[in-house]
Amino acid sequence: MRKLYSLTLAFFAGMAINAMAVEPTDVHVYINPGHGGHDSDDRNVVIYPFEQGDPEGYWESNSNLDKGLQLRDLLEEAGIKVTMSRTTNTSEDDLNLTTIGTLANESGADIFFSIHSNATGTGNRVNYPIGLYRGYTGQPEVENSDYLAECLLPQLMSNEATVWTNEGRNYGDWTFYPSWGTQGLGVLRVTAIPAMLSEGSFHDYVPETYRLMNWDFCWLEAWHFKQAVLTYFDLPGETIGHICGIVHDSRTERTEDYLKYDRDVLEPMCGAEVTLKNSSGEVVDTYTTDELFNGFYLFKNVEPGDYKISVKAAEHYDAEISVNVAANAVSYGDVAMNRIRNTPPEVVEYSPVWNEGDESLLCNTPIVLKFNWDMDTESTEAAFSIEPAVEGTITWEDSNYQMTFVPNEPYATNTLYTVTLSTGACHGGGTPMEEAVSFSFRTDARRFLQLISTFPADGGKIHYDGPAIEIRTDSVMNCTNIRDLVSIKDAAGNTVAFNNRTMSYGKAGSSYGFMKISLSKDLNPGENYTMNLSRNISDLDGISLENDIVVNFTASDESKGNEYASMVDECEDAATLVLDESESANYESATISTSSTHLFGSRSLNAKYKFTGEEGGVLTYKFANPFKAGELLGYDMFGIYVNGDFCTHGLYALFEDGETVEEVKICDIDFHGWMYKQFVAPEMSGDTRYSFVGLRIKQNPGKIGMSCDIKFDNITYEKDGSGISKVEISGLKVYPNPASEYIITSADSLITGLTLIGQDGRVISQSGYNVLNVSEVPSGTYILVVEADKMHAVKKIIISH
Amino acid sequence: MKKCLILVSLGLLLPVLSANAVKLTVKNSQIIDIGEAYHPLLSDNGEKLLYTSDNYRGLHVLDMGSMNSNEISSSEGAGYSPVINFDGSKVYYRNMQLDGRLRKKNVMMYDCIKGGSVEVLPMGRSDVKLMQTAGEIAVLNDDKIMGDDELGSKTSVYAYSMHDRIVVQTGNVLKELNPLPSGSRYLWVKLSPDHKKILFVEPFEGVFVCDIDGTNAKRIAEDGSSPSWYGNNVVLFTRSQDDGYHVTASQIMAVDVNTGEESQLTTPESMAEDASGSITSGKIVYSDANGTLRLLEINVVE
Ligand SMILES: [Zn+2]
Repeated sequence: MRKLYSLTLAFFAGMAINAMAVEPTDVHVYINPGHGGHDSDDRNVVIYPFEQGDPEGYWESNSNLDKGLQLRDLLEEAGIKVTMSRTTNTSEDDLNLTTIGTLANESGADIFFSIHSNATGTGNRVNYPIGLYRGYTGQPEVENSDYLAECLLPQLMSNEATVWTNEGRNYGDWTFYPSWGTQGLGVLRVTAIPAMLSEGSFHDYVPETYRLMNWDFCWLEAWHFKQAVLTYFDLPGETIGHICGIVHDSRTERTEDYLKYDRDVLEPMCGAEVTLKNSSGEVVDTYTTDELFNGFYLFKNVEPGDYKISVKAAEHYDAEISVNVAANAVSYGDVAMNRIRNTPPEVVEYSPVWNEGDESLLCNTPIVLKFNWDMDTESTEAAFSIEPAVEGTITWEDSNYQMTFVPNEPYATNTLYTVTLSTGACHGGGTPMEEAVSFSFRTDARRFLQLISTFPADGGKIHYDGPAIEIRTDSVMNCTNIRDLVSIKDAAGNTVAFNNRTMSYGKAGSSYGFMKISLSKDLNPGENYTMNLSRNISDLDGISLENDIVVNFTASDESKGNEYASMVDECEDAATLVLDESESANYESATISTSSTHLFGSRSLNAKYKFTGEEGGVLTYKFANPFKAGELLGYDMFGIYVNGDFCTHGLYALFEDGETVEEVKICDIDFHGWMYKQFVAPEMSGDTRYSFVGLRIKQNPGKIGMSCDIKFDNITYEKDGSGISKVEISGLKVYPNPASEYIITSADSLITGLTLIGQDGRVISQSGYNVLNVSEVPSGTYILVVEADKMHAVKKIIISH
Repeated sequence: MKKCLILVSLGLLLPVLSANAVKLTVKNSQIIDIGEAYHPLLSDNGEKLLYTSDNYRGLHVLDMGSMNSNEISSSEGAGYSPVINFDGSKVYYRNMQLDGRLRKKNVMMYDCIKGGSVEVLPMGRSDVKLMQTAGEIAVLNDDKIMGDDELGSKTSVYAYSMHDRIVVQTGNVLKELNPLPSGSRYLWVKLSPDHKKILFVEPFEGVFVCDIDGTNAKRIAEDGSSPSWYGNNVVLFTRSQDDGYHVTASQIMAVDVNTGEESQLTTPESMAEDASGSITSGKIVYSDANGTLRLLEINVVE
């Protein structure tokens, strides 16, 4: 206990020694205004009215020097010794960083400041001070360097003439610039004395750029540096105070599009005359704000007391504020100036301008009103009405000189609307309009964007490997942000990303809209997915979908096909299929080649063609060697692997009985990627035996799919030549017949599949087991193909609802 | 640094054909494996090496023969600009301490043979200089040379910078030199071993050599830092580039003060700095940005 007591005593004794008064004349400060000479390592910010590289424009070396020179003067006035690395701004002033540090060491100075400002160098703009000292944060290489930074930071943050976006921070340069290792800032590398580099504010935050062009604003930062020196050495403060602030319009906003925050949004007043009066009303000083869009004024060295600041500015009413000045402090007083608005407000322009007989307008047409004055938003919005009433959103632009109304939902179709702005609307000075304004317009017949089709379709499937989706609408979509409005989600709700580079879409002038894009990964066969379309998907006129749409689909592995099938053709050789020109019509071009996109072997057959018009196109391709010439029976079953392009055209198989060719529909090509399709030979008449002789594509009318690219891989024969009457599956029962809800089958062996085929040979419905739901199948006569024990049996069945 | 870029791009590193040009080539380069070390200073006979840490805290002496290292001081600022005599037997250095945020320093003398330091000057705020000329070292206090008797008597001519001026001191007689137009500042002032020339840097103008009387100032490099003599005819210096924030390239250069012939002893990527040489032993030592010390063995080609 005794020991601890004496230790504490010694500690306080030590404090007493350290607290021994320092005289200003004992102190020596080294000032390094950063950069120099407008050269490659200087920082130029282009601001109106200066061009890039204009020496009169903003350069970091200029504002650093303006701060440094005024800091020198402030410190010298206080009796403190100062040495500077430069006092002018030429290329020769751009000293080597090691040299600067050595000059500081050799000068005998007690502390070192390198004065800079910061830049994000990106589109983002922020404004806050950063202090840097050598070493890791909290572990300065030279002791007290962190304390020096701690003395400065609160001073800089107390500046109310700027707008800070964030709280300032101090760092060790090794922490702040990790990629430089322990090399750190060059100017701090060699300094053997407490030293820091200050990034006082962000000179690429444009309102700050304009402020840093002002000599007196730089004085304000210098004054805060001086306060840091007084704090650091525990020196007494000033007996006088200072006043500064920003003169700005009370309502009108800056129109330039650079980022601005808080009070910086409002237009600063250039050339405003600011007068400082004491409590007896006597003029103490005057100040005129500069022409560089900062509105900054400053009165230095003011005796403590109460003052009035009055301001005159062109086109504005005079304004006056009260300010109290305290010793060793800056008092801040922003002055908001009210515009003189000497005429009543009126609408100088509006849209839409529409007269009876004009073409009717889009159902989302915005209503825009332009005024001669900046308007009071509250009274103007209250004076606005539309008949029939429509819910909408009002926004203001151009410093409240312009008002825009946008309906929340599209207007009703084919309706005459009347817009009225009553005389209740006032301008910013409170004067109302003298005359109401009213105008009308008629809407057209189209309220929403219509979805024509999607791939996959709702309830449909998609081949899992290399999947692509497509949506089609009745007019061209605005695809700028469409990837944010369409999403694919797996069964767990996770988004399946798009491969953005693969997006293609319809361009202005097309008669319909489409957007096609590949997914960034394969899907899981058997898993359910959703395609989610936002109602915000819109066309080039901004007409959008009526509702959000969810499309459910399943991923499948189409390459599985039917494992018991035998081969008709492997689709490896382009000579397999030959265009029969005599049975083709209305096409511009048609070729058969092979493609490396394949499911089996190494190639696929690739049919590329272009139809001449919107309807009547037919292309007939014949096998060089007809399949099973004269051997096929009715309902003999086939399979084909088709890689579609969502062109919607019909694909048919051609069977010949020696005299006539009969076509059997395989499918409409309403899909992208691979699909496995089954089809059967036509019903027999008499003793006819068929040959499978070719494929046909028939154009479905429309502008979609004039140019097509379809691939076929293996074509398979799925029944080994046995006819309808000869194949029996032992114990096969099919019931009920007629059926309305389900067809149920049973046999001695396991039934592995049911396929319902229409009279035209088209596959209507399929099941992988012994029951088939036919509740959605239209009434009529169908063929049911039953698979069991590697065999097919075929039954006629009637569906009746 | 813009100037520096121009200099390199003009190809000033190419040999200048001149009958009596001195050119330095590197015979061998090796790492001195003693961990992180900065600001090396070689004794003129090349047998002892002083070095310190990144922030000048502490001072060590390395015997270049045995590679044994001894700590001279662990104090704040001890590594800032010490001096060492010809054979490395004596070292003057300063300890720094803060008194109420004001910097104070004393002067210490270290005896490399006996080991151990004694305080030569107590802590104070006066301008104390440690000086070194042709293997002689001395302390300058209040314009008076305080050299150790046996060392101070051998030579009494020193050149140094004081408040950005050049001072040549013979005994206790001071002469201020202004080799460049008024308003110039002088840094890194160093007398040549033969006492005939003065090396200095004018921060804005470059590296210069002038005669002992201040005449015949001649620029030997447009931009350089930490220069030092390597014999009477060659100056070593650091040439670096920066982007206004950090050093991006740095190399050791040698220049023949008579012809201006430059030799590149390390590449700009080496980040080398602070070269100290001993022509007697043909050795140059420097540190790099990571605190690696390197020893170069030098050939002088006349
Ligand atoms: Zn900077």
